[in-house]
Amino acid sequence: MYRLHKREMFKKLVAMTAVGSSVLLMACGNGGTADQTSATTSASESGTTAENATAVDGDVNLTFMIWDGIQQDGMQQMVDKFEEENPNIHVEIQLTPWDQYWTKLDAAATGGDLPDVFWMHPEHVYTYARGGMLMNVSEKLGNSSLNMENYPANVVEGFTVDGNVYAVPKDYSTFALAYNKDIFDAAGVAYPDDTWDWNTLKDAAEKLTDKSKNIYGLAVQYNTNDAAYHYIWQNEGDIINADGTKSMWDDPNTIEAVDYLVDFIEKGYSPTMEDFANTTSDQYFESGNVAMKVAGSWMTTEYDAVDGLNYDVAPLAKGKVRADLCGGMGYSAAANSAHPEEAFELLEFLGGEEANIIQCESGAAISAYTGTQQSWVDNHSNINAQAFIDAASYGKSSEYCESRSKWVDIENDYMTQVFSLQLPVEEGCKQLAEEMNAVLAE
Amino acid sequence: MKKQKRKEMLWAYLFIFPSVFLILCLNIWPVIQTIMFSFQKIEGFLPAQWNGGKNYITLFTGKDEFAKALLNTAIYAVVTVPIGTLLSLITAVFLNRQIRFKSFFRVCFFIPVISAPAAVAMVWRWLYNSDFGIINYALSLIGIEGPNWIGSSKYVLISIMIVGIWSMVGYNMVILLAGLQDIPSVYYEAARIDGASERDCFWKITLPLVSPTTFFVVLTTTISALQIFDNIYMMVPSSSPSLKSAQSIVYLYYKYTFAQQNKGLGSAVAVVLLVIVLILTAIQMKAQKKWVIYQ
Repeated sequence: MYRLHKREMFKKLVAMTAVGSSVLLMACGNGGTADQTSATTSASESGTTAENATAVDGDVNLTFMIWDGIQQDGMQQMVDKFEEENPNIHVEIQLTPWDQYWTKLDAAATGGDLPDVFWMHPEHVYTYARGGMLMNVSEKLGNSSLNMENYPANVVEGFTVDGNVYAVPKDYSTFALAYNKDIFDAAGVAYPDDTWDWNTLKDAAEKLTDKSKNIYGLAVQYNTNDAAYHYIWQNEGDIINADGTKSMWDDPNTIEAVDYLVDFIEKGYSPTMEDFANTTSDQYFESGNVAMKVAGSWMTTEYDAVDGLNYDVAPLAKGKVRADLCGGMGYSAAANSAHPEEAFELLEFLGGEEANIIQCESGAAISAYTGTQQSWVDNHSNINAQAFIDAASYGKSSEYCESRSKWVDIENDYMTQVFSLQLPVEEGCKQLAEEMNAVLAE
Repeated sequence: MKKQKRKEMLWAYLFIFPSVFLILCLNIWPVIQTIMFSFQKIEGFLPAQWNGGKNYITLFTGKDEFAKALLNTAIYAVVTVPIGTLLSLITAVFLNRQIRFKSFFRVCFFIPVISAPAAVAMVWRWLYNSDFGIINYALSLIGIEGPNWIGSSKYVLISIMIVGIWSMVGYNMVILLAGLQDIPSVYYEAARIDGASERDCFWKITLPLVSPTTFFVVLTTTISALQIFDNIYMMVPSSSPSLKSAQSIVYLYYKYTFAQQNKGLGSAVAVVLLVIVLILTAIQMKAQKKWVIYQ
């Protein structure tokens, strides 16, 4: 009797565990991530403002989600100023790192629990705007102080869906060629300047590469920041045609640009894609193992903080033409915010000249508001920061279109193979174009 | 008498109601929802549309990605479950003896279990780093050029399996220790009087009598091996060329659902995994009759 009893109990326990854990996995998929608290930190003042808010009637609490810890201080200064001007509104900044940001925002949107105001990226604006998750900024422009003419056109365009703007431009970022002066001095190579073209760049990379010291000339990693797009545009190629109906990956100019890049890896002037899996290109640059890398304007704050990194920036080398990737970010408000008036007031403030100047002075990002950029340059007097500002005049962001989310993964897949030398350049580009066209035709 | 019994039942139901209610809301309902989602087209925040079995067709006839993920997961499970269980059993048997610093060793083996998985993965990532990692440095001291543990398609799964085994041994060891201590000492005393050696005792008494616990350990580790995700997600960057040789079923689920915003396809992956887990568990429940001995 005892034997049977124990055995039955045990079997039941085992069966329950088995089913239970597989069920849990599925449960995670549906709502579990909503309460993922991973790295959410609130600004230091948030605790006290929340208390004040409950104490006074008629006060409004807004949440404001961002993904960049480097910019948190600057955002807090802007929010402080806003709270000073609007004593009845309290804003709590929530920081969620980029890697978890979109997962969290997606879960929050599905659960109807979006933050009132949050950073938006052109890559995601279609999904959120079409899903009815974002406040339509265009509708409210009429009697507000906001004017879309104050921002670079390609940034505003990045947030325009079906003729309506869904985010107030926050900043723009451009790229420049960051270089390690010590490595250049040691190799006796002249610093990059605006006369550099693709040939000079490759020659310099060759001279700077020193295998015995583990130093590479230029970091070429396929991803949105380091390689491909800038060079493709510099070679008068493109990713997708103007009306977004056809892939341009099989364009001869595009293929030539990819070929130029892959050559750096083949000749050993750049770490390989396998190497980048261990150490990011920024880590290579910061540790003095890479002489040059294409650096986003937001990285300067991080580079400045690295002890012993003696660096400067120059405009990207010129191909057939000058071109740079110039993406913008924006502030969006939730369509279903409990306090739409106050949320829009915050958007209005954040998009205004005053807030943009604070943002520039904090040094983290180049404000989108035309004419406020000088303080960002002044803030980076250690480097040729003007190179970033100038790049905006020839910056592009034509890859952001509605269909992007459907083919970006195919692009990643093929380009990862091409850049890790598993697939010949021309074959890879043509296959990619074929698959991308099939998706576009759907 | 009957009335008394019914009253007791009523109370019993009342007591289990809160947990049953929560399980229904938080576990069972999502499962049903997931199965429903797997037959729908859900992209972004647009309203869902029924699309029959199209998600499943995409999975099984589309690119080889899903097949490769199934294979990766199978290899992972086939390698880590036996090795992990064996190592746990060996450590448990040794730590069940009267040895010095017993508690200290037990704590050491258990530390991976109480460490945050993300932190564990980050530390291992640095150990594995091909340029600055301590593993390749140690190998270089004895004249071996270490491989690219994370970036190379050949080694990435091995690297992840090593971390998987390392972090599971502690937990299983504790369960097996409990099983070992459950074995009455009279058996050993009787065997020793009959002249049995230490080795006989292990093969004839310890191993058979700890088999119910071993079975439990095998079953739970198999299930968690099939659900491997966190180490891959944390250790292999999404831009790495080796990702294809490492991504598991759950990784694909994550990728489809959250990275590509295709919840229908992601749900189909989750349902396939559920079916696999159920079948494997059923087989193991049947097979255990052959080798598990209950006291």
